[in-house]
Parts: sequence; structure tokens; C-alpha cells
Amino acid sequence: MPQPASIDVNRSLPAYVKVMLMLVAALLAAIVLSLLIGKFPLSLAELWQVLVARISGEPLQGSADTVIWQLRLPRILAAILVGASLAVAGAAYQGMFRNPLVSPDILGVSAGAGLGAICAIFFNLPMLLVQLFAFVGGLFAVAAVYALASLVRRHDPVLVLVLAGIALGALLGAGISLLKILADPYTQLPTITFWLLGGLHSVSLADLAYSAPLMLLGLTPLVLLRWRINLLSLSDDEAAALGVNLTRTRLLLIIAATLMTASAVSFTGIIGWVGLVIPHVARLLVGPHFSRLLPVALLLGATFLLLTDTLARNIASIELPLGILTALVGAPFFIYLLARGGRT
Amino acid sequence: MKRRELLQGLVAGAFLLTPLARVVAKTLLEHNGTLPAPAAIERVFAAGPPAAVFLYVLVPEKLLGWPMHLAPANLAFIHPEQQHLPFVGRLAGRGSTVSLESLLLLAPDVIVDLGNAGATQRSAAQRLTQQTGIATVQIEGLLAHTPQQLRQAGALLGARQRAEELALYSEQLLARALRFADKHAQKPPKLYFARSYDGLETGLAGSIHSEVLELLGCENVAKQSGHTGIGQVSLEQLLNWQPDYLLTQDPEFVELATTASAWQSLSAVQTGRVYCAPKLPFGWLDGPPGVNRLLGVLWLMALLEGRLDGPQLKQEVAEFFSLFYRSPNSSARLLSALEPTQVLD
Repeated sequence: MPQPASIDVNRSLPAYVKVMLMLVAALLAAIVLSLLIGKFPLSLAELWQVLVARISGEPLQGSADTVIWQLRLPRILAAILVGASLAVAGAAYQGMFRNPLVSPDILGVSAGAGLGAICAIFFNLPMLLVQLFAFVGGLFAVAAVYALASLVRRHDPVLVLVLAGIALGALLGAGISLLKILADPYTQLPTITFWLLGGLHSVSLADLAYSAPLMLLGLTPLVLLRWRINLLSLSDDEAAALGVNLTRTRLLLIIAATLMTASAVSFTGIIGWVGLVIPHVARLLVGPHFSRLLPVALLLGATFLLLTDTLARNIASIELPLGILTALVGAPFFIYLLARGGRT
Repeated sequence: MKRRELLQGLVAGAFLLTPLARVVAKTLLEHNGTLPAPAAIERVFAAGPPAAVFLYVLVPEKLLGWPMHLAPANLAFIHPEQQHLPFVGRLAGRGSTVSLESLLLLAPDVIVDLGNAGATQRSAAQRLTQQTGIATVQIEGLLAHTPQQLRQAGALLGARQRAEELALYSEQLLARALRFADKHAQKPPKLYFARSYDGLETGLAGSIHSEVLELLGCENVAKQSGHTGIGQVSLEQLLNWQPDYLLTQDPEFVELATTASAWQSLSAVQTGRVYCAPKLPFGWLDGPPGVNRLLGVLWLMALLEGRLDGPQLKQEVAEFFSLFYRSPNSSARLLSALEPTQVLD
């Protein structure tokens, strides 16, 4: 397998290892912090008892055990998985589309998932079907965009994909708006609005049981193909000269990223900013090489979403939608990084 | 102006005689444009669902159509003459689904809206009157003010007698609610009113969505200072609040609360205090926030007094259905409306 820029990689290895170690430490610290604080008051001793009791196979009875094992831990895991998925999918797409403004929903996955979920809410379907509709809607939207784009042969395939994604996204957005107008303004409309703002407040172990394998399934090809993904930033002709079939790699990457995003969005609603900002921050830290960008973006995304969600569930007596906080926290941080990066 | 002052005087006079005199007697109506004489008003357009329910109980023969879609299940409890009224869409500023041209085609004598209107809605109503020449009436919509709303609107729309009949009933019911609240003032029951498919959306304390609870003096556990709309909460927060009762209007949520393992730590779930309020023909606790919630007052009072299955509630509900909704009164149908009301164990 070709390893472009491998000399570069070796030269800055210590710095990269240092960044990785710091990120792992930050994630672990965020997990501990997130376990410790919440609306249900638990002392450090109680937390310890509950953890030890469950690990030793004799779970304690009572609310403390439920809070830790059924509510906080699933939510922490979900934040890590969703944050990592969105950040990695964003990093992969930004490389593939050669565009820093691309986020994981560029091919319509969020719009499709949104329309699916809102259809289910509109018809008063149970929670499981809302999630299923969202997941299937996301997959369908991206499949439609890909099929549409492959019909057009005479243009740059990447550009056509983006344009098809924007067009279909607008179409699905119109569908969402239509359902919002038709929905019952007193019961359904608030639910739709909250879904579109995203949040982890209703995450359960059951959600993780189906979404975690799907997200890991999507992550696997990205890890395995991390070297080849760098080539996607070349043009098709240049890549062909190197003997690589970009169409197939691109398709595989789209499937992987879509699987990750769709399964995340299906139970969290739409969470913006993570997939757009985190890859940039990762690139500022370790450069654009995907084999390094991937683990860094993964850890950064996980930590960022975990901290933001911890904020979302502690800042007020009600929950703040995550989509609002990711932008509120992410945008100023991003601007700060840009300004700092500009000076050096 | 004279008529208005007279109206105010009448209303104020009526109040001094009632136990509700403590509610400030003020006009709850605001209007734009020139109102036709009460007797001349024959066609009334309901701007939104709360107004539609209000007009349906007060002046059914003048209601032009429904601003919301009603399913056959809902229509079964509506008087045959209003069952076939068309769906006409709603008027809500930018969120309107009825075009001004079709509004003109319907040629209402007056447009009525009910609810707590802010400056945006008021100015939208003013503009609507300027554009179409149709008078608009805005009624302040607190549940506790139902008798005044009925009397004032009844006087305006030429239905004094009907209004008085409904207002007297509401007055008695609200007085009962106040007595109930007084009785439990020492230790008010703690309630959580779950909305949405995951049950983690709720009308916050002080919002129009939890008026029934608060009217009966219950404590709505979901409080957020400075915010009285709909909010999201987490199960962890609920475990911390530990409400005595979980209420909902969504049978899907009852299914979730009784099966999902994480919910089992709530004492309300353990003790089987998860209750689903009926929502036919309109929501009993909420949705739309209109006079339909008087049924919720009856229902919640019965629930908290532990007589949900008793004959008294059935009789009271039957009375309400025939007085307010003029429902084709068959007890089998009423029972089916009460069916989702189940105590779970």
C-alpha cells in the first residue's frame, strides 16, 4: 500500500504522540467529570459503591444504580460515540470533497433523517419507529444523492455529488417545513423542533445496542483505508495515474460516513457543528494527513460532545438542546483557534 | 365605547356575587375594526384550535369551519351539524395556513382568537383587519378566566343565554377546583406531565400547558425560573424530582414508562401512578389549551381523590359532553373516551 509523505510522518512522531496522549487524558478526565455531576445528587462514595457493586456482580438496588448504569453511563457512551462519529465523518468528507466548509450532512443524511423522524412524529408513531424512520431516511437520502450524481457523467464527480446533495437537501427541507406547518402546533410542533435541535437526554442502553455496532461498522473501513483516503484529495486523473480507482474508494467512504452519521442522528436528532469544526481543530493540531487526522478528530469529537452534553444537562433545571450548545461553545472556540493560528 | 363600559359594568356586577370575585374583573376582549351588532353576527372564523373549541361550545351554529384536522375518532363526539364543517386552516401571522383570499370567500363577520397574545400577534391581527376589513377579536385565554371569557364573548357574539349557562357551570367547577387546591395546600401532590413520544418533553410550571395541574393546586415538578414554555428534561432530573404521579395524553408513553427499565426507578412508576388522560374529542389536559381542559379538571380531581373508576366521574363527564359538546349522548361512546384512563400496576 502506498504511504505518501511517510518521511514527514516519522519526523514529527513525538509531537503527534504527545497530542494523542493529551487527548486520551482529556477524554478520560471528561468521562470522570461527567460521571460525577448530574441532577441526581450522588456523593463520590455512593458513585464508587455503585460502580464496584455492579462490577463485582452484585448490583445495588435503588435509584443510584439506575442513575449511573442506566442514565449517566449510556449517555456518556452515546456522547463519545456520536461525537467521534460526526467528527470522523466530517474529517473524511472535508478531505474527499476538498472543501473545508463541508460537514457530514452535505449529502443529505441529516435532511433525510429529519424528514423520516418528523414523518413518524407527525403520525404519532412510537419512539422506536421514530428512530428507525430517521435512520432509513438518512440512508435513502444519501443513496438518492449518489444515484442522481452518477447519472451525470460529464462533470467533476465530486462537484456533482455536492450539488446533488444541496439540491436534494433543499427538497427534503421543504418536506420538513411542510410537515411543520401541518403538525399540531400544541403537541407535535414542539417535539419536531426539539428533534431538529438534537439532544442526548433520552438515550438508553437499547439505543446504544443498535447504534454502536453500526457506528463501529462505519468506522472500520475508514481506519483500514486511512492511507488511501489521502488520495481522494487528488483529482480522478491524478489518482488513476497512481493506479487507484477513486470511484470505489469514494463510494466506500460515503457508505461508511453515512452509516455513522445516520445511526448517530437517528437517536440524537440533528447535532450541528461537531462534524464541521472538530476536523479543523484536529488539522490545526496534527496536519491534514488522514491517518493522523482520524484518531485525533475521533478523540476530539468525543471529548467535545461529552463536555458539551455535560453542560447541557447541568446548566439549568431543564435540558438545553445540544444543537444550540455545540454552536454556542464550538463557534467561539473555533474563532479563537483561527485567530491564534493566523498569528503564528 | 358606551356599550363596552356597560358590558364591563355588567361583568363586574356579576362577579361580585360569585366566589370568583377575587379574580380581577376586567375585559378579556380586545378588538380591531368595527364589530357588527351582536344579533347581526352569523359567521365566525376561529383563528386557531383553542378558539375553535371555544366557539364550538359557545356559538356552534356560527362556526364556519375547523382550523385543525379532526380524525373520525374526534368527530364521533362532535354534534352532527358541526361534524361536516370543512377544514379551513388557521390564522397565525406567518404561520397561517388559510389564504386571505379564501378567508374573504368565507366572508366571516368576525374572526376570533383565544390565547395569550403578545405584541406580535396583536399587530398581525390589526394588519389583518386593515387588509381585509374583517373585525378581529382577541380573547385572553387563561383557563381560570373561562366564565368571564364565555360571558364577554357571548355578549359580543349574540349568545348571552348559552354563555351564561356554560359560564355558571364553569364557575362552579372552578370554585370546586379552588376548594380542592385549598384542601391540599399543606401538601400539594407533585405531578409531572409527560409529552412527546419519549415522555421527556413537558409544559413547564406557569405555562399554558400545565394550567389544569396548577389550578388544582398541584406542584408541577418541572420548573425553570424565567421560562414558561415547553422544555426538555432528563430522566435523571425526574429521578431527582420524584413526582408522585406521571400524567400524559400519549398511550405510547405509558407503554414506555411501564416497560423501559430505566423508568422503573421512579417511585410513581413503581406504585403504578402513571395515568393517561383521554384526548377525545379534544385533549383533556392540554392540546389545544382551550375550554376543553375543564374536562381535565374533572378528571384530575377524580384521579387525585382516587375515584377514577367510580360512577361520579362518568356522570360528570357525560354531563360535560352533553352541555358543552352537545355530544350524541351514548354511554358506550363516553366509555370509549375514558378507556385510555388506566391505572397500571
